[in-house]
Amino acid sequence: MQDPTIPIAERLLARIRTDLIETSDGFGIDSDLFAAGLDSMSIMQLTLLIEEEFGAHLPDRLITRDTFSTARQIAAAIRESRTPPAR
Amino acid sequence: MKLRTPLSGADAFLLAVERMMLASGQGRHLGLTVLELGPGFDAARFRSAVERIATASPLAAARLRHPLARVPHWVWSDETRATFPVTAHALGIDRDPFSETRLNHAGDEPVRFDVLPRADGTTTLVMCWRHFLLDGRGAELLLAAVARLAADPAATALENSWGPPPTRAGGWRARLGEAENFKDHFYKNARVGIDSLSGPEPRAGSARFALEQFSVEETSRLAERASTITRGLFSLAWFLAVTMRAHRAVFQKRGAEPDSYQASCAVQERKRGARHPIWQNRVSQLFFCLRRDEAADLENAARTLHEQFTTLSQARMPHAFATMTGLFRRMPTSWYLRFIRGNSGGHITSFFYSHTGQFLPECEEIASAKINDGWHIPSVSAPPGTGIFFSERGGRLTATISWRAGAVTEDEIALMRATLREDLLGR
Repeated sequence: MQDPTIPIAERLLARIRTDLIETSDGFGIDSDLFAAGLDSMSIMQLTLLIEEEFGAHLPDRLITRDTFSTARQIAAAIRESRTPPAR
Repeated sequence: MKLRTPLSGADAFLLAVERMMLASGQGRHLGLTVLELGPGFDAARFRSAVERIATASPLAAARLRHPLARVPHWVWSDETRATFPVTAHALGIDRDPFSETRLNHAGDEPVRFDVLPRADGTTTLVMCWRHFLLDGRGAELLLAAVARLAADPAATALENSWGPPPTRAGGWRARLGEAENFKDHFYKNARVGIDSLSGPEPRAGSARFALEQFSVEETSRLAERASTITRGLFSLAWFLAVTMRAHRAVFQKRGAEPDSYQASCAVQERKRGARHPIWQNRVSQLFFCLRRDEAADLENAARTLHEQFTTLSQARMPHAFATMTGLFRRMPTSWYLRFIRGNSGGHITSFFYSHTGQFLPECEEIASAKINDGWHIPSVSAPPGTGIFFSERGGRLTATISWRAGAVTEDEIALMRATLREDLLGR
């Protein structure tokens, strides 16, 4: 079975390419977003995009450098933020 | 055939500022970009690359037209060709005094280069540019284009790298609504007292600057220190807080601390990693306001500014500012200046500020010489008379402190530098 974060990561990466970062050939969901130019302002734009496009509000504990390092990591954070906490 | 290119909203704002500067004996609004190069600089290849990019950039040689109640625009034709002079100097010229001279005596060319060789085979390259044609990132993209052309003598330059300003969705009503949002925010800040170190009236004086440079170790240490607040993600608020406090130290020494420190941060409209557009200022702004009591503690100041950053971003304030400056382009310059100065007690802002991030990250070398370091030196208008501009290359942070002669004393600049260093590195 396919990793469920992959479709989210691919959709997110498409939006990042359209709105935020000009990526080179071969740039994928595991490529380093910081190396591609992600900065304070574009991270903030990305969090707004995540709210709009995925209806997800990343909790404070997930706003880390690690989360924003790749599209796959962000997708995992989006999934985690949508999952209700276990009782 | 005559071609027209409208000024961007940011261009029109900078045009108004430059006209204020010219009218008050401050000269043109210029910026320098300085590269420290290793050995092997190939001057012939560099010159050829500059000629090709100049030929492909007619906008840089276009004539400005500002008809009454219409958007100011550049007029140019297929035959219009720009010239960017390249001057090779003799050995033994000191970089910083030369840069200061260039910042004050540049001539009329939109872009010019000076090559300063050293006896050890290394070179300093100084590019001087007119700010209402280029912003700092545009200056880097121009250098990146020159580097690509110098690496391949057969390559042709991208023709006239400009683009229409981003389209704003909606009709007039929607755009006026967005502009209203910005105006409300602007007026809210305007109600809090603001001051600048030069005072509210435009004043003649030469452009001055000082570089505060940090080693790799220091830059790593200051990033670690900042990360408790920024989490390694949001450095904008931290560096702005440090800049506000460097100014606060001078105001306190004068015994006249203002009610607030207000400044804006540029928001790039270009995509990260994009090669163009090179020409025109492609930025919006976010406006911050830190009250006197909030500036007393660095961490509190940075947290407060980060909260504002979040709130203003969520309110789409960069978009609202871009819409407003787009609408304001039609204003005669005198009205434009009356709006921005009239609502800030004449000061425009407390100071100018930017952090342009990684400096020229797409280039390792230019004309066969390795780029060892680089930074921008924007001149500033008075008011507000001062500005601090950050960038980083090779893990080394550079802070350029710019001022207008007469706005601050040498002792005050020394205090500003010491405060900046202390806040960034800790005691």
